[in-house]
Amino acid sequence: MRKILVTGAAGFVGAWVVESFHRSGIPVRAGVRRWTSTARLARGTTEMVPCDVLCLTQLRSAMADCDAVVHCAVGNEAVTVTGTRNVLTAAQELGLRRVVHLSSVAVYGNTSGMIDERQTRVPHGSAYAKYKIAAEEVCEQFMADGTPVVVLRPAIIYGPYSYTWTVSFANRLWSGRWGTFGPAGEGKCNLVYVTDVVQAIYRSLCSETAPGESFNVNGDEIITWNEYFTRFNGALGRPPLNTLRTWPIALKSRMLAPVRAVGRYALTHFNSTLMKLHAKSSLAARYMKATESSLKLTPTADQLKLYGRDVMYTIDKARDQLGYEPSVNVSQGLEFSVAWLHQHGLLH
Amino acid sequence: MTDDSGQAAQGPLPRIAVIGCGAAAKEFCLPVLSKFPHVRQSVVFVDSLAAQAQSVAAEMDHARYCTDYRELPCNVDAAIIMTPHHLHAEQSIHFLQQGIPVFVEKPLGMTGAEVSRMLEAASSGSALLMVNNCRRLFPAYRQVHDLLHSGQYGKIRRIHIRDGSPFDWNSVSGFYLRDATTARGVFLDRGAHTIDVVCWWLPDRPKLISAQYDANGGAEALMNVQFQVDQASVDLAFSRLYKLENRYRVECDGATITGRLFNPSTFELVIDGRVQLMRAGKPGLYHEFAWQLLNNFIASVQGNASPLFTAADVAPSIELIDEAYQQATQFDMPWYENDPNIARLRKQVAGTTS
Repeated sequence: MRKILVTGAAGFVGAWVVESFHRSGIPVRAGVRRWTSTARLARGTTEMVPCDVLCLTQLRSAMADCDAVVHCAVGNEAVTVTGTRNVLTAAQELGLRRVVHLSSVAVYGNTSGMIDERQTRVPHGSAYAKYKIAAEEVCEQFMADGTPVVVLRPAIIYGPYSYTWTVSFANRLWSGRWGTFGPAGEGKCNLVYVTDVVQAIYRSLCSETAPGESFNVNGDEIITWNEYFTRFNGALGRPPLNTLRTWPIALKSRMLAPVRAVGRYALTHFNSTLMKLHAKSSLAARYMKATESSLKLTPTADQLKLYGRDVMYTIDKARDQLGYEPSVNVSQGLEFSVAWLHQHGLLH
Repeated sequence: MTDDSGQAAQGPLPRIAVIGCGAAAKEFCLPVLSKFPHVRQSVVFVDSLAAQAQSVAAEMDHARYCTDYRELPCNVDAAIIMTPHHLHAEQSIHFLQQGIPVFVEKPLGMTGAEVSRMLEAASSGSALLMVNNCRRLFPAYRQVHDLLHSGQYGKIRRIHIRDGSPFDWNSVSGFYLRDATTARGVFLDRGAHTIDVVCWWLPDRPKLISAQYDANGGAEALMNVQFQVDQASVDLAFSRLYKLENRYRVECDGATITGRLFNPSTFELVIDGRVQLMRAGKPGLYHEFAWQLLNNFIASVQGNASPLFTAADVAPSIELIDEAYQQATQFDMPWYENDPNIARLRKQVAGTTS
């Protein structure tokens, strides 16, 4: 195997692909958009190159001497959709042997039940899902032209360095103000440990039959969200969780929705002014901290729906065609995650 | 404009070479230099990238620029060095040996040996050498220093600091993270401030007990260090990946002092469980202290002020940082070392290549 370019290499999954490959002796090149985001990768000796997926010139240069691309870059509509088109265009021009595109089970929308790869893709109002569907459609156009593309649809990827599914829940549990959600938390939590996703990526790079196909990538131990919270809490060594009454949380979630929206807008458009205010006024600083804490500890309406959704993404196709087999169960994944959280001083 | 000692940087700006026209020059130098009249005649901007030097010079009334600090188009009275860390020593020494005062961005140097050579050059050239360790100007830090040195609350027993935020310095060159010559990461970068403050607060030079980091041939993003001095233990953690508590806690026999690392004006004094908010000065923005220090340097070059502190005051912290790097061991990282997927990949690759 010649060198493999990873786009979005500074992100959660991209960095895991780069580090796992590098530690295993697989030649890998990390494509990054901004140097500021590369603190994690810079700890090692992996080659890093500028690789803005919106710049075809940079992509062509980054792909030089490579025979495959793992496309992990994701962002707004332009990055996710146009970026995918650019990656595939450059890969096609240079005659690369394989492109592995990281999509998501989000393409299935809010559908319930057992979901395999034949399920119709449905956007459900989330911009992320909409962009991922559009990016898959771009992949299919290139597949039709014979470009050897494999699409992977991972479920909920957790593990060290995951902010969304590991750090944020650890902070909620550590606060002592989180719990289980009764029947509202009995939906299925489709956890897949991050290096199991790396395994699926590697198998997609090697398989002769994978091009032109899409695969779900999931763990093989499907637990409920309540169980995830309970087991994570136990792994953190915290006192047992209480069952929370969901209607007050749902009410608070609705009341905080406009605060969340205004906060996001203010941080995007008036960040420097807010920072100045934070530095100059201790009252403002205290208010900002209290608001941030309240928002972090209150699930959004979408998150509450997720905790109750009865859905499972099957991995039979990946098992059969890629030889994929999840290797890290939830207990081990949580053990790694908690050790990492402690070392990084993230429990406070 | 006045420096902290109340002395004004008055009159014409000395002739100054600004070496390095990246983010540090834009954030710390230009706001100070632009306050002076006739900048165009007084300042020359230097960057190995001509376009970078030209762009910054254009912002300063089209001042002069060039690409090599050894070939300036005019004589200068002072140099301000805002280049990547590993260039600080070589470039500072070049000017100091000619008797030209130097203001250098932190860290002063990469190693204790580099800093020794810089101080020797300053001494032999009889030139002022200052470094942008601007947190020494925080009123809260100064008051904590005075309280600790007065012995009012007895001996220091423990110092505990957590210092971390996601790396977001808008480095033009990316040298912090991409260059093997700067394979020292968060501890040199953030530690240059924090270790200096700890050394300044403590009565004696601390002794290194142990250091651990997560570097794997590159620049570490996480480092924990433990020191001991007299009967006090010092426990420090740094991260450039995640936001840590960003607080200091100093426990003495008779009181505990706590504060936020980036709050320059207030701290808390805890005596017998009672918390007292101490206001040491007006709230200020971080950059204002760097500007104040640079202005003090200019006033010192003009002969209108004395330096608030010099590089010699900061040197022990760099020696300590250097020692910690030399003795640091790698953290256990079971999420890499014991991961079954990585182990299997390694076997497969070894099998393919053997």
